[in-house]
Amino acid sequence: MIHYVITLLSIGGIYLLLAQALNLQFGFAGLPNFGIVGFFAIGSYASALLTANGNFPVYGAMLIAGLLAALMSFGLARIVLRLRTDYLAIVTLSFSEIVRILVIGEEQITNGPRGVSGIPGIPLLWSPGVNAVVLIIAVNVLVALATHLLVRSPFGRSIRAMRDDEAAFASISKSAVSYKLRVFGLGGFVMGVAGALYAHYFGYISPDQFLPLTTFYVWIAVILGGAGRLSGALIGTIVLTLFLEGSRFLRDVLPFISEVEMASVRIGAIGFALMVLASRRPQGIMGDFTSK
Amino acid sequence: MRLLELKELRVGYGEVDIVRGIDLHVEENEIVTIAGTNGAGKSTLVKGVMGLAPRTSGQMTFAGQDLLSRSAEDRRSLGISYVPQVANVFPSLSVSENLSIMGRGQNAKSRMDEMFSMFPALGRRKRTQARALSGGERQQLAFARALMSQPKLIVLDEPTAALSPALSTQVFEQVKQLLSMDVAVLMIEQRARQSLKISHRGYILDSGKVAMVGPAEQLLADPEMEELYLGVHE
Amino acid sequence: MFYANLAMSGLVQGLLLATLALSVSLCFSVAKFTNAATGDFMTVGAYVVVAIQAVTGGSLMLGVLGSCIVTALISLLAYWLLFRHLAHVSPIMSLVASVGLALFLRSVLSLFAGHEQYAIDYPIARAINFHGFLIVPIDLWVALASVALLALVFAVLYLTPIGLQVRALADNRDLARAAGIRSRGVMIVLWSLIGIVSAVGGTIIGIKTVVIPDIGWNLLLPGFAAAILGGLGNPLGAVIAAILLGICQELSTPMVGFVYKTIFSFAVLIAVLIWKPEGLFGRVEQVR
Repeated sequence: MIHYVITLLSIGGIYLLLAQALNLQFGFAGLPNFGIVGFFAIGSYASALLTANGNFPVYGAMLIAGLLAALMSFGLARIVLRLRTDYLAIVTLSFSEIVRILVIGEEQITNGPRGVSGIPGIPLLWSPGVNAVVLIIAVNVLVALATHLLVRSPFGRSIRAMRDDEAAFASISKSAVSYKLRVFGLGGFVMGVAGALYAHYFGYISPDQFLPLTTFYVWIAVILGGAGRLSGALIGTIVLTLFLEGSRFLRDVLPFISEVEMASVRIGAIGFALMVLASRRPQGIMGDFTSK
Repeated sequence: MRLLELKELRVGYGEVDIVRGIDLHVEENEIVTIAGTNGAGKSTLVKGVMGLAPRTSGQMTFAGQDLLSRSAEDRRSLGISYVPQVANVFPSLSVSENLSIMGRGQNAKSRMDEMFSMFPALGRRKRTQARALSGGERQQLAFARALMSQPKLIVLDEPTAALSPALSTQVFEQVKQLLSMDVAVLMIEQRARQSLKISHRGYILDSGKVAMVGPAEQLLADPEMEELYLGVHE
Repeated sequence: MFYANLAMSGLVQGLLLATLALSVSLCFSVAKFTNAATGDFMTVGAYVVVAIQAVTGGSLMLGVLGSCIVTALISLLAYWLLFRHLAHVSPIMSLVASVGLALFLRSVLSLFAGHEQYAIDYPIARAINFHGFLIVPIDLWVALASVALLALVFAVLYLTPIGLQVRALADNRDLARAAGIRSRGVMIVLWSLIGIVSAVGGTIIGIKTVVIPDIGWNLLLPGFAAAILGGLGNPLGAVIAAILLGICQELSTPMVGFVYKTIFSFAVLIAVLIWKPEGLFGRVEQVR
């Protein structure tokens, strides 16, 4: 039982990190990221490959993983920031597919479809599983605190003003735009670290763990709770984790549904939820984030 | 006879009302200017009149018919034409397509020829995409398009917004000529002095309400008006 | 001759991409959002052909025509139930909704048809050999059909009164409304066209590969790349860009390898966004 709770907390915690990161990028800075899983994968593979074969310190590898993902997201956002936000959505979505194709294709580096195994757990203190969950929670708290400070800062206010009024966007100083870029990069960093945590928690990663579906899980969590809210990301993630876990239990209750069918039903339900939320409740079930 | 009549009209986006209770009317064959500082609610008022604002309440009638319950798409057949600010033509459509969008059939065909004789510059560039026109030609096309449906009222939102002073004078000349075509004009203008000179009456808006109203000459002569709304802009 | 053959297969690939890029571009120019379900509409189109062929005994012609009707109806249904309600939502939320639709369509297809592969039946004929330049008859038919389809779409857009209204609404929504154009009629035309284009595009993928629930989604990226290359919201540009992209992609295969074909289109996408964001034939869609 305690083992299951730890698993649940770890998985939920990693989703929460991703949701917080998207909240920073989209909810706060207004820049959509449809390639979350790509940055997540970069972080995972960077940290895993650095540590699996050599004696590279795990914490150092996780930091590098985050920086790498930050660099990529910063670069992509920089290219398209002056264009409509749709372009950023398309570019990031494409990017995440490219990452997966590269991971499959560059077998010499990534071990291709077979994946990377033997990734060391997180050292220090207690058992690796407990270490991971403690670290995941700690990082979550850190990110939440950082976000809180960021939103309250003077430039946070100007960014929110920008998000609420696209027309005023151009008139606000260039430096605010570059702040937005940095926020996007920071979100990428968090996604990369989340990926590294995931790799060290599970000890094994392979390309099929980084399908676009994960990106949309995170979107569900953020929209469900209402983009731009800290509490929204938390509530959204809890609902999402319960749904994903619950649908596994559902299969125990309904044994005539095959695993493959259940996967289809899960995808369908996620799709349905995205449609309903986006068209009927774009401000999330928690209400409008602008009127807090 | 009164064409357009607004009573206690409120127009808003989201939670806020930008236009906060305005009484206004336009008679047949009358040019009316709406002036006021930036953010006074001029453009929002026009959006409300054209049925393009998210929320409009109060009373609004056109030639005795209720306008509030009618959609933006109904305005044309009722006899109201609209020339928005700057984005006032269909850029990827050719000049003649911009006109034919307002109606088809034999009647429209002859109307289009009338337009081309009225604006000869357009007649020479029938197949040109509107985006390739010069600023002045584009303004002419916007007027021609608005006139195609033989409206009783044309609503102009800052027709001189992106134009040089010389071209602006030309535009005001054109507006004056509209009177000979049996058309009333409701015009928003930043260049209030010039605009009032060709108008019959004027309304000055301030923070979503009517601050001053009266015959154009009277407004032009009013010292308070001079100080508050005319002096700065010209 | 080797490259001539590659170019021919690239042309077919390009025409296939053109159907996808055209749908993306049409939707973007009129409904003002990026439709991530475009690829999955094509998947639906392919499955409908398979289903009709299974019922009627294999006529490809009947399958395609039937699929045009059914897919257009499904596309209209999607408009009626979903996209109609997105008019006042930000373009990004519309994109999110279209992702939702994409996932939903795929899930329904895999629930009812399973994950096994299907094939679209077509009359197999020997390739015609012109001194080493091979032409497979079905490629010829695919090319003809897609050219006919593109001609149909552009004829509707440029030669009919409703096409004029579609283009006007794409240009300037408020002005179009003030000119008395009702968006409902325009949207019905738009989504019917998207449905028909998807049916034909789906048939082509089905003929060139196999029919599985992922075929459409996998083509989305190169489709987007082509749509941006042609200037997002410029349907004619999208078609030309897609054909160019298809040919270049095929010609590059011997150099970069099969796996990296998709990466090629991503590289093109990024390059375009850096140096010519308005696309080859487009105008800039900048934040004003």
